[in-house]
Amino acid sequence: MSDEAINAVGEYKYGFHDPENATIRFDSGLSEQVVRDISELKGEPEWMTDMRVKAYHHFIERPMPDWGNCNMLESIKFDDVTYFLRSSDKTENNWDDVPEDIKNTFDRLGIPEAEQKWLGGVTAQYESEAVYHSIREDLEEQGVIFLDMDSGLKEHPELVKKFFGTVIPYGDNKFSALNTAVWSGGSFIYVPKGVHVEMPVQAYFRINAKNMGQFERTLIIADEGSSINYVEGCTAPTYSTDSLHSAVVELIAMEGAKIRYSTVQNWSANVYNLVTKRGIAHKNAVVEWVDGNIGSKLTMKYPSVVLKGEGSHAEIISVAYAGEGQHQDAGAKVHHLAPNTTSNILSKSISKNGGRSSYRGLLKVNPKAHGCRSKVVCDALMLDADSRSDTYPTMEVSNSTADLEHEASVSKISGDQLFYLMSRGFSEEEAMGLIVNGFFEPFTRELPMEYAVELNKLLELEMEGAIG
Amino acid sequence: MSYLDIPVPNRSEHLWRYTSWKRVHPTKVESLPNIETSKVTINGEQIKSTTAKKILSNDEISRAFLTESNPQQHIVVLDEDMDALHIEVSCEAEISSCNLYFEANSSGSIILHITGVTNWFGLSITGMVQQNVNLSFAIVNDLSEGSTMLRAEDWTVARDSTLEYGELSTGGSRIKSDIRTYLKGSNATLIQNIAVNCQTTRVDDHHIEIHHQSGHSNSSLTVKSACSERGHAIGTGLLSIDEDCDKTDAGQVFKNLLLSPQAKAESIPELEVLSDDVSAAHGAASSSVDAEQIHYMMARGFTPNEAQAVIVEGFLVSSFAKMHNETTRQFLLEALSNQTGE
Repeated sequence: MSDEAINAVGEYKYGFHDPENATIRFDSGLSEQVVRDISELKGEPEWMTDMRVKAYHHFIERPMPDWGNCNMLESIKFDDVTYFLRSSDKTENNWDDVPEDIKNTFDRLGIPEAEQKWLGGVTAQYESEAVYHSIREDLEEQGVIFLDMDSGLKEHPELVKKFFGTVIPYGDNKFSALNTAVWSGGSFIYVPKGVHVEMPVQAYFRINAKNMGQFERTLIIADEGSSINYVEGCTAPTYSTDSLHSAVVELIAMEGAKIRYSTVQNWSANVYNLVTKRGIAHKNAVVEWVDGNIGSKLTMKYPSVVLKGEGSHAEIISVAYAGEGQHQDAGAKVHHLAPNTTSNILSKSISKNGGRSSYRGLLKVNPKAHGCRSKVVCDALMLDADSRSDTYPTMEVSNSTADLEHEASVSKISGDQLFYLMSRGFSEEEAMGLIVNGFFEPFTRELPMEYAVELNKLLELEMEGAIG
Repeated sequence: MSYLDIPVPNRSEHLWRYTSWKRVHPTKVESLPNIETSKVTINGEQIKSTTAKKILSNDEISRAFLTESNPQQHIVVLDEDMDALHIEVSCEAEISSCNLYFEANSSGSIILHITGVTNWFGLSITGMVQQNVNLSFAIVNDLSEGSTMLRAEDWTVARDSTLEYGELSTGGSRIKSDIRTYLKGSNATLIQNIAVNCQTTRVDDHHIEIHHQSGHSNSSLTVKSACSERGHAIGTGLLSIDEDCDKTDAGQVFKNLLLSPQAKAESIPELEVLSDDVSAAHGAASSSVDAEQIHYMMARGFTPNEAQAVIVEGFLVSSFAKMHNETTRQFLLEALSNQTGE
C-alpha cells in the first residue's frame, strides 16, 4: 500500500469542507411555502409546482417505513435540514469560471482531470444545483441532450413533462415524495435513436454545508437502439450533525436500447442516503445498475428494473461495505412483466467493526411473463463477531414457465486463503485486503478503470486495522 | 398478552403478507370463541386433555388465539421403553382445535396424523427435545377439502440433541403454519423436511423460523412445493444466528414446482446473522417440469398426466429420502403415495 494510503488510515479521505459561500440559503425546515419558493426561484412551469406541492402533502401524510432500520430512520431530524442552498449563480461550462473554492474541491476530487481523459460529459453538483456542466461537441452534434435537470426542464419542457415521474411517481414511497417536492439538480439525458455514447458521462455530487439536504433528480431516456453509460460519484464532508441525501433516478430504455448506470457512493458517515432508483426496459432493451455503497450512515437503496417489453434484460450488481456505525441496507428488485425477459442480480457485502449490511430484494414474475429467467446470488463476508449480515429476498412467481434461482451465503474469510497468501510473504492485513478486493472483483471489473482503481484504494483504506 | 389486546397484524409483516389473519380466523377477528377439543388418540387409545400449562409464548397472535380459545392441552411424554408414538387427531366438529405438548426424554419417534371433515381446525404444538435425545417427528395433514387450518409450533432442542422433522401437507384448502425452532445448546441439530402439494385452489402458507441461540448448532431446512391448477404455495422463513454462536452451520432451500399457468409460489427465505465464524446459506428456486423429463416418460408409455404425476411424486418423495428414522420415513412415504395415487 502507498505511503499516502497508510497516512490516511482511519480517515475519510473526502471529509474536508470549504467555507460556505452561499448566494441563496433557505432556512432549515420544510413547509409548503419552502416547496413553492424553490419552484418559484427556478421559474418552473405550473405543472411542476403543482406536482411538487402534491408530493409535499403526500410526504407529510405518509408514515415512515415500518421496515428496515426504523430506529435510524426515526432519528432523522427533517426540521434541521436545509432544503435548498445555491452556491453559484449559474452553471458554468468552463472550470475557470467556477467559483475558486468550489473548483478547488472538484480538483481535489479529480473531476476535471478525469473529464479530460476519459469522459464524454460531466455534471458537477455542489449542494442543491449544478455548478459545472459540459458535453463533448461530437455528442451534442449527434443530438445527445446532457443537461442538469433544472436546465433540462427549462430547455426541453415537453420532453421532461412527458417522462418525469412516470417511472417513479411521487406516491411510490415517502422519500420519492420528499424528492419530488424539493428536487433540485441532477441530470437530464436524452439519447436519440441509434446513437451510441461510447465514452461514459459522469455526474458528481458533493454536499459541502452542514445539515444539508441534497435531492437531485435524474432522468435518462435512451431512445430506440441507442446506448449510454452513466457514472455517478458522491462525497461529503464529515460533520458531527447529519445530512440527508434523497435522490430519485428514473431510466427509460426504449426498444433495443441499453442504459448502464454505475454508482460509487462514498458519502461521509453522517449522511442518510435514501435513494429510489428504477428503470423501465422496453422490448429487447437492457438496463444495468452497477451500484457500490461504501459510505453513509444509513443507506436504503434498491435499484430496480421493470422489464416491460418482451426480451428485455436487467443486470444488477450491488456491493456494500458496512463499517463501524454504518448500516448498508441495499438490494435489488426486478419485475418481469413481459415474456422471455431475463435478469441477473449479484449482491456482495462486507461487514466490519460492528457494521451491518442487509440485502433486500424482490423478484416478481407476472402471469403473462412466459419463459422468463432470473438468477440471484448474494454473498456476504463478516470480518468480526461484532458485525451483522441479513438477507431478505422475496420471490413471487405467478407463471409456471418461469425459471428462477436464488442463492445466498454468509461466511468469514477462509483461514486457508489467508494462510496461502501469508505463506507467500503477505502480511495478514495485506492478505485480507487482497481477498476483499477479489471478493468485490465482479463489481469493480464492470466499472470504468479509473473508478475501479479508486474503489480498490478505498477498500484498502477501509480494511486498515481489520486485524486485531 | 391476551388475544384481544394484540392488534390485528399488518400485511407488511412478512409472516402475514400473503395470508391475512382474517382469512385464518374461524369467525370474526374481534371475537374469541370457545373452541372444542378434537379427539386425540395415542397408539389407538384416546387420551384426555388437561388445562394448558406448558406453552412457550403467547405474544404472537395465532399462539394467543389458539391457547385462549381452547385452554385444554394434551401432554405427550416420550420416555424410555417407548420407541414410537402414533397420534391420531380427528377433527369432526365444524370448528375444533388441539393443543399438544411433546416432551422427548428419550430417543424415538412421534407420528402425528390429522384427519377429519371440518371447516376449521387449530393446532398448537409446544415441543421439548431434552439433552442427548434424537427425536424423529412426522406430521401429515389429511384434512378434508374446504377446511382451513391454523397451526403454530414452538420447538426447543437442547444440547447434543437432534430433531428430525418431516411434514407432508396435502389436506385442507387454506393452511397457515408457523413453525419455530430454537436450538439452545451446543451440538443441537434440526433437520427439517417439508413437502407441500397444492392442487385445485389449495393455498398453503408456511412460515418457518429457526433460531440458533448457541454455537456449534446445526440446521438444515428443505421445503418442496408442487403447485398445480390454481394451487398457491407460500414459504417464508427466517434463519437467525445470534451473537456468540460461532461454528454454527445452517442451510435452507425452498423449491417450487409450478405445473399450471394459474399456479403461484412465493418464497422469502430470510437470513439474519450476528456471528462471524458461521456457515449460513439459503437458496430458492421456482421452475416448471422439465419438458425433456415428460418426453422421456411419454416415450415409455405414460400419458402426459401420468408422467407429470410421477415426476411430482418423485420431487416430493426426495424431501424425505434423507430422513434417518425408518418409522417416520415410511409413514411419510406411504402417506404421500396414498395421496398422489388417489
